[in-house]
Amino acid sequence: MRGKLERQHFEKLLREHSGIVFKVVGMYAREREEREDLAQEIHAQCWRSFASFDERRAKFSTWMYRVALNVAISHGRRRQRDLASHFEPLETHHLETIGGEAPDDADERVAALHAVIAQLDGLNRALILMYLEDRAYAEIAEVLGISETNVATKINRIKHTLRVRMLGARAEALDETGSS
Amino acid sequence: MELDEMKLAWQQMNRKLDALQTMNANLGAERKAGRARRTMLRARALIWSETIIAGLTLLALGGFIWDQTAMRFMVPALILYPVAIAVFASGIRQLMLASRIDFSEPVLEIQRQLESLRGLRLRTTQMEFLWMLLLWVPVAIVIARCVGVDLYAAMGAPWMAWNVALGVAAVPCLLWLARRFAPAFNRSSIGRTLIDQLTGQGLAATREQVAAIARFERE
Repeated sequence: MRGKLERQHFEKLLREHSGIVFKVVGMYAREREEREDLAQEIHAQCWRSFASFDERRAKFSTWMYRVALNVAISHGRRRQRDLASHFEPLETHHLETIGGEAPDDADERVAALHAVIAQLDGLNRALILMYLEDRAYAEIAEVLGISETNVATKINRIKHTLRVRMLGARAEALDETGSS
Repeated sequence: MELDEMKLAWQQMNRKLDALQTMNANLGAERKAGRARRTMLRARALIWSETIIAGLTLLALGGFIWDQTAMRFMVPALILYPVAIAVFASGIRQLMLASRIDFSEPVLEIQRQLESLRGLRLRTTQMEFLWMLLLWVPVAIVIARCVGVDLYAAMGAPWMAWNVALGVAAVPCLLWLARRFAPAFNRSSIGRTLIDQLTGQGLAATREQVAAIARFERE
Protein backbone atom coordinates (compact mmCIF):
# COMPACT_ATOMS: atom_id res chain seq x y z
CA MET A 1 0.00 0.00 0.00
CA ARG A 2 1.39 3.37 -0.98
CA GLY A 3 1.80 5.88 1.84
CA LYS A 4 -0.26 9.00 2.31
CA LEU A 5 2.91 11.14 2.11
CA GLU A 6 3.88 9.60 -1.19
CA ARG A 7 0.39 10.29 -2.54
CA GLN A 8 0.52 13.89 -1.41
CA HIS A 9 3.98 14.35 -2.95
CA PHE A 10 2.72 12.83 -6.19
CA GLU A 11 -0.38 15.04 -6.33
CA LYS A 12 1.75 18.13 -5.67
CA LEU A 13 4.08 17.28 -8.54
CA LEU A 14 1.09 16.48 -10.75
CA ARG A 15 -0.50 19.87 -10.06
CA GLU A 16 2.79 21.68 -10.74
CA HIS A 17 3.16 19.90 -14.08
CA SER A 18 -0.49 19.58 -15.05
CA GLY A 19 0.21 21.65 -18.17
CA ILE A 20 2.07 18.69 -19.64
CA VAL A 21 -1.04 16.51 -19.42
CA PHE A 22 -3.19 19.24 -20.93
CA LYS A 23 -0.84 19.71 -23.85
CA VAL A 24 -0.41 16.03 -24.56
CA VAL A 25 -4.15 15.52 -24.36
CA GLY A 26 -4.70 18.50 -26.66
CA MET A 27 -2.28 16.99 -29.18
CA TYR A 28 -3.76 13.50 -29.21
CA ALA A 29 -7.47 14.01 -28.58
CA ARG A 30 -9.88 16.49 -30.02
CA GLU A 31 -13.30 15.89 -28.53
CA ARG A 32 -14.01 16.81 -24.93
CA GLU A 33 -15.02 13.35 -23.73
CA GLU A 34 -11.99 11.76 -25.34
CA ARG A 35 -9.72 14.39 -23.74
CA GLU A 36 -11.17 13.69 -20.32
CA ASP A 37 -10.74 9.95 -20.76
CA LEU A 38 -7.17 10.33 -21.95
CA ALA A 39 -6.29 12.73 -19.12
CA GLN A 40 -7.63 10.30 -16.53
CA GLU A 41 -5.78 7.42 -18.14
CA ILE A 42 -2.56 9.44 -17.99
CA HIS A 43 -3.11 10.35 -14.33
CA ALA A 44 -3.84 6.73 -13.42
CA GLN A 45 -0.72 5.52 -15.21
CA CYS A 46 1.43 8.26 -13.67
CA TRP A 47 0.39 7.10 -10.23
CA ARG A 48 1.07 3.45 -11.06
CA SER A 49 4.52 4.30 -12.43
CA PHE A 50 5.39 6.80 -9.69
CA ALA A 51 7.25 4.17 -7.66
CA SER A 52 9.84 4.01 -10.47
CA PHE A 53 10.42 7.78 -10.50
CA ASP A 54 13.89 8.70 -9.25
CA GLU A 55 14.58 12.43 -8.91
CA ARG A 56 18.32 11.77 -9.21
CA ARG A 57 17.99 10.15 -12.65
CA ALA A 58 15.54 12.44 -14.42
CA LYS A 59 13.49 15.58 -14.03
CA PHE A 60 9.85 15.02 -13.17
CA SER A 61 8.81 16.82 -16.38
CA THR A 62 10.89 14.41 -18.50
CA TRP A 63 9.48 11.43 -16.62
CA MET A 64 5.95 12.74 -16.99
CA TYR A 65 6.35 13.39 -20.72
CA ARG A 66 7.36 9.77 -21.16
CA VAL A 67 4.38 8.41 -19.27
CA ALA A 68 1.90 10.81 -20.85
CA LEU A 69 3.16 10.23 -24.39
CA ASN A 70 3.25 6.45 -23.98
CA VAL A 71 -0.35 6.46 -22.79
CA ALA A 72 -1.46 8.95 -25.46
CA ILE A 73 0.21 7.12 -28.35
CA SER A 74 -1.32 3.79 -27.27
CA HIS A 75 -4.67 5.47 -26.81
CA GLY A 76 -4.37 7.03 -30.26
CA ARG A 77 -3.69 3.67 -31.88
CA ARG A 78 -6.70 2.11 -30.14
CA ARG A 79 -8.89 4.98 -31.31
CA GLN A 80 -7.52 4.72 -34.83
CA ARG A 81 -8.60 1.12 -34.88
CA ASP A 82 -12.07 2.11 -33.68
CA LEU A 83 -12.74 5.26 -35.62
CA ALA A 84 -11.41 7.35 -38.43
CA SER A 85 -9.37 10.30 -37.18
CA HIS A 86 -11.46 13.08 -35.68
CA PHE A 87 -9.10 15.72 -36.87
CA GLU A 88 -10.17 17.74 -39.85
CA PRO A 89 -7.87 16.96 -42.78
CA LEU A 90 -5.79 19.83 -44.12
CA GLU A 91 -7.87 21.72 -46.63
CA THR A 92 -6.98 24.63 -48.87
CA HIS A 93 -9.14 27.03 -46.84
CA HIS A 94 -6.73 26.53 -43.93
CA LEU A 95 -4.03 28.17 -46.04
CA GLU A 96 -5.84 31.49 -45.87
CA THR A 97 -5.34 31.52 -42.11
CA ILE A 98 -1.65 30.64 -42.07
CA GLY A 99 0.53 33.66 -41.32
CA GLY A 100 -2.52 35.85 -40.71
CA GLU A 101 -1.94 38.51 -38.11
CA ALA A 102 -5.47 39.60 -37.35
CA PRO A 103 -6.72 38.48 -33.91
CA ASP A 104 -9.83 36.99 -35.55
CA ASP A 105 -7.59 34.49 -37.33
CA ALA A 106 -6.38 33.04 -34.03
CA ASP A 107 -9.00 30.28 -33.84
CA GLU A 108 -8.59 29.40 -37.49
CA ARG A 109 -4.83 29.27 -37.08
CA VAL A 110 -5.23 26.84 -34.20
CA ALA A 111 -7.60 24.79 -36.37
CA ALA A 112 -5.00 24.78 -39.14
CA LEU A 113 -2.39 23.66 -36.60
CA HIS A 114 -4.58 20.72 -35.63
CA ALA A 115 -5.05 19.85 -39.29
CA VAL A 116 -1.28 19.79 -39.78
CA ILE A 117 -0.74 17.73 -36.62
CA ALA A 118 -3.40 15.24 -37.76
CA GLN A 119 -1.17 14.28 -40.66
CA LEU A 120 1.55 13.11 -38.30
CA ASP A 121 1.66 9.67 -36.74
CA GLY A 122 1.81 9.22 -32.96
CA LEU A 123 5.61 9.24 -32.67
CA ASN A 124 6.14 12.27 -34.90
CA ARG A 125 3.36 14.03 -33.06
CA ALA A 126 5.26 13.46 -29.80
CA LEU A 127 8.39 14.90 -31.41
CA ILE A 128 6.59 18.01 -32.66
CA LEU A 129 4.81 18.54 -29.34
CA MET A 130 8.10 18.71 -27.47
CA TYR A 131 9.65 20.89 -30.18
CA LEU A 132 6.73 23.34 -29.98
CA GLU A 133 7.17 23.36 -26.19
CA ASP A 134 10.78 24.52 -26.73
CA ARG A 135 12.22 21.40 -25.10
CA ALA A 136 15.91 20.86 -25.68
CA TYR A 137 16.88 18.25 -28.26
CA ALA A 138 18.65 16.33 -25.49
CA GLU A 139 15.43 16.10 -23.49
CA ILE A 140 13.39 15.13 -26.57
CA ALA A 141 15.93 12.39 -27.29
CA GLU A 142 15.76 11.17 -23.68
CA VAL A 143 11.96 11.03 -23.70
CA LEU A 144 11.66 9.25 -27.02
CA GLY A 145 14.67 6.97 -26.66
CA ILE A 146 16.50 8.10 -29.80
CA SER A 147 19.72 10.06 -30.38
CA GLU A 148 19.90 13.87 -30.46
CA THR A 149 21.12 13.69 -34.05
CA ASN A 150 18.04 11.67 -34.91
CA VAL A 151 15.82 14.33 -33.27
CA ALA A 152 17.42 17.12 -35.32
CA THR A 153 17.18 15.10 -38.53
CA LYS A 154 13.53 14.30 -37.95
CA ILE A 155 12.57 17.88 -37.17
CA ASN A 156 14.24 19.04 -40.37
CA ARG A 157 12.47 16.32 -42.27
CA ILE A 158 9.08 17.29 -40.83
CA LYS A 159 9.76 20.96 -41.69
CA HIS A 160 10.56 19.97 -45.26
CA THR A 161 7.51 17.70 -45.55
CA LEU A 162 5.18 20.37 -44.22
CA ARG A 163 6.68 22.95 -46.57
CA VAL A 164 6.18 20.64 -49.55
CA ARG A 165 2.59 19.85 -48.52
CA MET A 166 1.78 23.49 -47.99
CA LEU A 167 3.29 24.44 -51.35
CA GLY A 168 1.22 21.75 -52.99
CA ALA A 169 -1.95 22.90 -51.26
CA ARG A 170 -1.21 26.54 -52.11
CA ALA A 171 -0.74 25.61 -55.76
CA GLU A 172 -4.13 23.88 -55.69
CA ALA A 173 -5.71 26.92 -54.09
CA LEU A 174 -4.20 29.20 -56.75
CA ASP A 175 -5.53 26.88 -59.48
CA GLU A 176 -8.99 27.01 -57.93
CA THR A 177 -8.87 30.81 -57.68
CA GLY A 178 -7.64 31.10 -61.26
CA SER A 179 -10.31 28.81 -62.68
CA SER A 180 -13.12 30.51 -60.72
CA MET B 1 2.80 25.93 -42.43
CA GLU B 2 6.34 26.62 -41.34
CA LEU B 3 7.31 25.36 -37.89
CA ASP B 4 7.67 28.97 -36.68
CA GLU B 5 4.06 29.62 -37.65
CA MET B 6 3.13 26.40 -35.90
CA LYS B 7 4.81 27.69 -32.73
CA LEU B 8 2.69 30.85 -32.90
CA ALA B 9 -0.49 28.81 -33.28
CA TRP B 10 0.70 26.47 -30.53
CA GLN B 11 1.20 29.39 -28.14
CA GLN B 12 -2.31 30.64 -28.93
CA MET B 13 -3.68 27.18 -28.22
CA ASN B 14 -1.72 27.03 -24.97
CA ARG B 15 -3.30 30.28 -23.80
CA LYS B 16 -6.72 28.65 -24.27
CA LEU B 17 -5.55 25.49 -22.51
CA ASP B 18 -4.15 27.53 -19.61
CA ALA B 19 -7.57 29.14 -19.20
CA LEU B 20 -9.21 25.72 -19.21
CA GLN B 21 -6.63 24.51 -16.74
CA THR B 22 -7.51 27.28 -14.29
CA MET B 23 -11.18 26.39 -14.57
CA ASN B 24 -10.47 22.71 -14.07
CA ALA B 25 -7.96 23.03 -11.26
CA ASN B 26 -9.13 19.87 -9.58
CA LEU B 27 -7.39 17.53 -12.01
CA GLY B 28 -6.99 14.73 -9.53
CA ALA B 29 -10.74 14.49 -9.03
CA GLU B 30 -12.10 10.99 -8.86
CA ARG B 31 -15.24 11.90 -10.77
CA LYS B 32 -14.21 10.28 -14.03
CA ALA B 33 -11.36 8.12 -12.77
CA GLY B 34 -13.68 5.15 -12.76
CA ARG B 35 -14.02 4.90 -16.55
CA ALA B 36 -10.32 4.93 -17.38
CA ARG B 37 -9.45 2.55 -14.57
CA ARG B 38 -12.29 0.19 -15.52
CA THR B 39 -10.97 -0.04 -19.10
CA MET B 40 -7.47 -0.85 -17.91
CA LEU B 41 -8.66 -3.32 -15.28
CA ARG B 42 -10.98 -5.06 -17.75
CA ALA B 43 -8.12 -5.71 -20.20
CA ARG B 44 -5.95 -7.18 -17.46
CA ALA B 45 -8.82 -9.17 -15.94
CA LEU B 46 -9.44 -10.80 -19.33
CA ILE B 47 -5.88 -12.10 -19.57
CA TRP B 48 -5.95 -13.30 -15.96
CA SER B 49 -9.25 -15.11 -16.37
CA GLU B 50 -8.17 -16.80 -19.61
CA THR B 51 -4.95 -17.97 -17.97
CA ILE B 52 -6.74 -19.27 -14.88
CA ILE B 53 -9.34 -21.08 -16.98
CA ALA B 54 -6.59 -22.61 -19.13
CA GLY B 55 -4.75 -23.71 -15.98
CA LEU B 56 -7.87 -25.29 -14.50
CA THR B 57 -8.58 -26.95 -17.85
CA LEU B 58 -5.09 -28.46 -17.81
CA LEU B 59 -5.66 -29.86 -14.31
CA ALA B 60 -9.07 -31.20 -15.25
CA LEU B 61 -7.79 -32.78 -18.47
CA GLY B 62 -4.88 -34.33 -16.61
CA GLY B 63 -7.27 -35.89 -14.11
CA PHE B 64 -9.59 -37.02 -16.90
CA ILE B 65 -6.76 -38.73 -18.82
CA TRP B 66 -5.55 -40.41 -15.63
CA ASP B 67 -9.02 -41.81 -14.92
CA GLN B 68 -9.75 -43.19 -18.41
CA THR B 69 -8.97 -46.70 -19.58
CA ALA B 70 -10.73 -46.58 -22.92
CA MET B 71 -8.67 -45.08 -25.74
CA ARG B 72 -11.73 -43.56 -27.38
CA PHE B 73 -12.03 -41.16 -24.45
CA MET B 74 -8.33 -40.74 -23.77
CA VAL B 75 -7.39 -39.77 -27.32
CA PRO B 76 -9.68 -36.68 -27.54
CA ALA B 77 -8.33 -35.49 -24.17
CA LEU B 78 -4.75 -36.06 -25.33
CA ILE B 79 -5.51 -34.02 -28.46
CA LEU B 80 -6.86 -31.15 -26.32
CA TYR B 81 -4.01 -31.23 -23.81
CA PRO B 82 -1.28 -29.52 -25.89
CA VAL B 83 -3.77 -26.83 -26.97
CA ALA B 84 -4.58 -26.11 -23.32
CA ILE B 85 -0.83 -25.97 -22.55
CA ALA B 86 -0.30 -23.51 -25.40
CA VAL B 87 -3.14 -21.24 -24.21
CA PHE B 88 -1.90 -21.39 -20.59
CA ALA B 89 1.71 -20.67 -21.60
CA SER B 90 0.59 -17.76 -23.76
CA GLY B 91 -1.44 -16.33 -20.88
CA ILE B 92 1.55 -16.55 -18.54
CA ARG B 93 3.77 -14.91 -21.16
CA GLN B 94 1.24 -12.08 -21.66
CA LEU B 95 1.06 -11.46 -17.91
CA MET B 96 4.86 -11.43 -17.66
CA LEU B 97 5.19 -9.02 -20.60
CA ALA B 98 2.46 -6.76 -19.19
CA SER B 99 4.09 -6.68 -15.74
CA ARG B 100 7.41 -5.58 -17.25
CA ILE B 101 5.97 -2.61 -19.10
CA ASP B 102 6.94 0.59 -17.32
CA PHE B 103 5.32 3.60 -18.96
CA SER B 104 8.05 5.87 -17.61
CA GLU B 105 10.63 4.20 -19.87
CA PRO B 106 11.56 5.77 -23.25
CA VAL B 107 8.63 6.02 -25.63
CA LEU B 108 9.99 3.89 -28.49
CA GLU B 109 10.86 0.99 -26.23
CA ILE B 110 7.46 0.97 -24.54
CA GLN B 111 5.56 1.25 -27.81
CA ARG B 112 7.54 -1.70 -29.12
CA GLN B 113 6.73 -3.74 -26.01
CA LEU B 114 3.04 -2.80 -26.22
CA GLU B 115 2.84 -3.89 -29.85
CA SER B 116 4.60 -7.18 -29.00
CA LEU B 117 2.06 -7.78 -26.27
CA ARG B 118 -0.79 -6.90 -28.56
CA GLY B 119 0.56 -9.21 -31.26
CA LEU B 120 0.82 -12.08 -28.77
CA ARG B 121 -2.74 -11.42 -27.58
CA LEU B 122 -4.09 -11.39 -31.12
CA ARG B 123 -2.26 -14.59 -32.08
CA THR B 124 -3.55 -16.33 -28.94
CA THR B 125 -7.14 -15.26 -29.54
CA GLN B 126 -6.96 -16.26 -33.18
CA MET B 127 -5.52 -19.65 -32.20
CA GLU B 128 -8.22 -20.19 -29.54
CA PHE B 129 -10.99 -19.39 -31.99
CA LEU B 130 -9.67 -21.52 -34.83
CA TRP B 131 -8.82 -24.48 -32.59
CA MET B 132 -12.30 -24.39 -31.03
CA LEU B 133 -13.80 -24.72 -34.51
CA LEU B 134 -11.58 -27.67 -35.33
CA LEU B 135 -11.69 -29.40 -31.95
CA TRP B 136 -15.21 -28.88 -30.70
CA VAL B 137 -16.00 -32.60 -31.18
CA PRO B 138 -13.20 -33.81 -28.84
CA VAL B 139 -14.35 -31.11 -26.38
CA ALA B 140 -17.92 -32.43 -26.60
CA ILE B 141 -16.72 -36.05 -26.09
CA VAL B 142 -14.71 -35.13 -22.97
CA ILE B 143 -17.46 -32.97 -21.42
CA ALA B 144 -20.13 -35.59 -22.18
CA ARG B 145 -17.96 -38.27 -20.57
CA CYS B 146 -17.56 -36.11 -17.45
CA VAL B 147 -21.35 -36.14 -17.03
CA GLY B 148 -21.54 -39.87 -17.74
CA VAL B 149 -22.58 -39.76 -21.40
CA ASP B 150 -20.85 -41.81 -24.07
CA LEU B 151 -21.14 -39.52 -27.10
CA TYR B 152 -19.94 -42.28 -29.48
CA ALA B 153 -22.87 -44.44 -28.47
CA ALA B 154 -25.33 -41.57 -28.27
CA MET B 155 -24.56 -39.93 -31.62
CA GLY B 156 -22.64 -42.52 -33.63
CA ALA B 157 -19.42 -42.34 -35.62
CA PRO B 158 -20.97 -40.80 -38.79
CA TRP B 159 -22.28 -37.86 -36.76
CA MET B 160 -18.82 -37.35 -35.25
CA ALA B 161 -17.10 -37.51 -38.63
CA TRP B 162 -19.65 -35.15 -40.16
CA ASN B 163 -19.13 -32.57 -37.40
CA VAL B 164 -15.34 -32.78 -37.57
CA ALA B 165 -15.59 -32.13 -41.33
CA LEU B 166 -18.00 -29.25 -40.64
CA GLY B 167 -15.53 -27.70 -38.24
CA VAL B 168 -12.74 -27.92 -40.79
CA ALA B 169 -14.95 -26.43 -43.52
CA ALA B 170 -16.18 -23.68 -41.19
CA VAL B 171 -12.74 -22.09 -40.96
CA PRO B 172 -12.40 -20.87 -44.58
CA CYS B 173 -16.15 -20.11 -44.74
CA LEU B 174 -16.00 -17.89 -41.68
CA LEU B 175 -12.90 -16.14 -43.01
CA TRP B 176 -14.69 -15.45 -46.29
CA LEU B 177 -17.79 -14.21 -44.46
CA ALA B 178 -15.67 -12.00 -42.20
CA ARG B 179 -13.97 -10.33 -45.16
CA ARG B 180 -17.18 -10.07 -47.19
CA PHE B 181 -19.30 -8.53 -44.42
CA ALA B 182 -16.56 -6.62 -42.57
CA PRO B 183 -18.19 -3.19 -43.13
CA ALA B 184 -21.38 -4.35 -41.38
CA PHE B 185 -19.41 -5.67 -38.41
CA ASN B 186 -17.28 -2.53 -38.22
CA ARG B 187 -20.19 -0.59 -36.74
CA SER B 188 -19.60 -2.16 -33.33
CA SER B 189 -16.29 -2.41 -31.47
CA ILE B 190 -16.91 -6.09 -30.63
CA GLY B 191 -17.64 -6.87 -34.26
CA ARG B 192 -14.58 -4.98 -35.39
CA THR B 193 -12.37 -6.84 -32.89
CA LEU B 194 -13.79 -10.16 -34.04
CA ILE B 195 -13.16 -9.37 -37.72
CA ASP B 196 -9.62 -8.12 -36.99
CA GLN B 197 -8.80 -11.33 -35.16
CA LEU B 198 -10.42 -13.70 -37.67
CA THR B 199 -8.90 -12.15 -40.76
CA GLY B 200 -5.52 -11.36 -39.24
CA GLN B 201 -5.89 -7.65 -40.04
CA GLY B 202 -5.12 -6.83 -36.42
CA LEU B 203 -1.87 -8.80 -36.60
CA ALA B 204 -0.93 -7.13 -39.87
CA ALA B 205 -1.57 -3.72 -38.28
CA THR B 206 0.59 -4.67 -35.29
CA ARG B 207 3.43 -5.77 -37.54
CA GLU B 208 3.18 -2.51 -39.45
CA GLN B 209 3.35 -0.57 -36.17
CA VAL B 210 6.48 -2.45 -35.11
CA ALA B 211 8.01 -1.68 -38.52
CA ALA B 212 7.03 1.99 -38.17
CA ILE B 213 8.72 2.13 -34.76
CA ALA B 214 11.89 0.60 -36.25
CA ARG B 215 11.80 3.17 -39.08
CA PHE B 216 11.37 6.01 -36.60
CA GLU B 217 14.40 4.80 -34.65
CA ARG B 218 16.65 4.81 -37.71
CA GLU B 219 18.25 8.10 -38.58
